[in-house]
Amino acid sequence: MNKNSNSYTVIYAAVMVIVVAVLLALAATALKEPQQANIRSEKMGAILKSLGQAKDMETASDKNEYIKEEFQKYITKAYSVSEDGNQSEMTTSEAVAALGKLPQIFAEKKAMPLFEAEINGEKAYVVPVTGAGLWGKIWGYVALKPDFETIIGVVLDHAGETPGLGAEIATDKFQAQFPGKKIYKEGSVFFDLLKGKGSSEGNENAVDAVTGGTMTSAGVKKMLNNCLSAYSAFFNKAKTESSNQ
Amino acid sequence: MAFLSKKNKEALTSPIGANNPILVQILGICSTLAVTAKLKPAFVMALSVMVVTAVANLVISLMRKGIPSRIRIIVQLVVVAALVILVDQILKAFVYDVSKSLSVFVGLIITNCIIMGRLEAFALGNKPMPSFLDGIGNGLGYGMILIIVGFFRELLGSGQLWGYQVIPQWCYDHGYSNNGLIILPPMALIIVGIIIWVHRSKNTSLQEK
Repeated sequence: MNKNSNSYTVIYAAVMVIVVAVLLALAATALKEPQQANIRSEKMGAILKSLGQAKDMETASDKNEYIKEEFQKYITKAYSVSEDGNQSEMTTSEAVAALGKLPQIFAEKKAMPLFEAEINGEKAYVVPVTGAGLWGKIWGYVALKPDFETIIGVVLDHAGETPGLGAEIATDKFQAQFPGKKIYKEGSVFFDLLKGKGSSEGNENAVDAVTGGTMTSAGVKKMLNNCLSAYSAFFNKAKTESSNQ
Repeated sequence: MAFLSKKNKEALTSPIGANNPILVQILGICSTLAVTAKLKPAFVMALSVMVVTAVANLVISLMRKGIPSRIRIIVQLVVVAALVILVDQILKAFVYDVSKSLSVFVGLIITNCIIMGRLEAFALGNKPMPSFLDGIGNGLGYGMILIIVGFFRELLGSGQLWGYQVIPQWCYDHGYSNNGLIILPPMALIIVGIIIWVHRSKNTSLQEK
C-alpha cells in the first residue's frame, strides 16, 4: 500500500478524527456527573466559607459529602430577588444551580439568588457576586449580617489572574480584611479597594488593594459595587421591615 | 537491568544534562516564563508535561509505521490534544482541586514545543520503549529547570516556598522587601539565562568557539 497516496492520507485522517472524537465524547459523558458534583460542591463550600463555617473542609475524608451535610445544616432558605426589591422563595438547590449562570442573571437582574442561613440562632445572608478581572472571570460570595450592611466574610475566586499578583484576591490573607466592614456609605452601596498597605485602616468601607494587582483590584471593586447595588432595593426594603417590627 | 540498555539509558538521561530541552534546545521557554512565579504550579506543570510527553511519545511511536508523512504534524497535534483533554477531564472529575490550580496551564501543555519536538525528532523514528523513556527524560529535564526557576522566583518575589512564608517577619521589619520584578516574566528569562550560563560553563563542548 502506498502510504503517500492521497486516498490513504484522507482515509487515515478521517478515521483518526472519528476515533478521537468518539473517545473524547465517551470520556466527557462518562465523567460529566462527578465533574458537576464537584463544581456544585465547590460553590456550596465557598458559601459556607464566607459564613465562617465548614472549617474542616480540607481535612474531611469525603469532602463533597461533608460540604453537603454542612450546607443542609446551616443554609435554611433561598430567595430569588429582583432589582426592584421583590423576592420570592426558591429551593436551595435551585439557587445553587442558578449560581452557574450568574453573569446572565446579573445582566437581567430579575431573579438573583440570595441565601439565608441560620448559625447558632443568628440569621445571615449570602449574596453571590460576579465580574471581570484582568485576564478573565472573577466571582465570589459576600456574607452579610441581618442588618444587610456589615460583612461577616467574603470569599473570592478567579479564573486566571496572575499568580502572586492579582491571584492574591483568592488568598485567606486578602479576604481576612473584609469581616466587620460595611457595604453602605451614606445610604447607598459603596465599597472601595485602596492602594498602599494600611491605607484602608479605620475606613469601614474599604480594604487594601492587592499590590501589583491594580487591574484585578479594580475588577473586584467594580464587581462588589455592581452586584451588591443590584440587591440594594431588596436590602432597603428588608431593613425598613425589620425596623418596623 | 535489561530494558535500560545503553541507548535507552541515554534517551532517559541525556535530556536531563547535556541535551536539556530548555537550556540547550531553548524549547518551552514560553511556559517557563508563565508558570514559575510560584513553586507549586511549576511543579504541577512539570509533572503534567512529563506525563503527556511520555504517553504521546509512546502512542506516536506505536503509530509511526502507519502515519502518512504529509500529515504527520497534524496527527501528532491530534494525539497530544486528545491526551491533554482526556487528562483535563479526568482531573476535573476526580481531583478537582488540582485541576483548579492548573487552570489554563493544561491548555498550555498542547502548545509546549518540547512535546511536538520530541514526537517529530524521536518518536517517529524509534521503538516504543526508548520513545517512552525519552519522553520521561525530557519531562524531567524540563521540570528540573521549572522548579529551579520557580524556587528563586517564589523565594525572592514573595518570600515564600510552596505557599509557606520562609523569610521571617523580622527581616521585613528591618527593611527587607520582596522584589516585585522577580514575579514578572522578564526576570524568569534572566534566571534562565543565568542557569544557561552555569550549564555552559560545566559543559564545555556546548560552547561556541
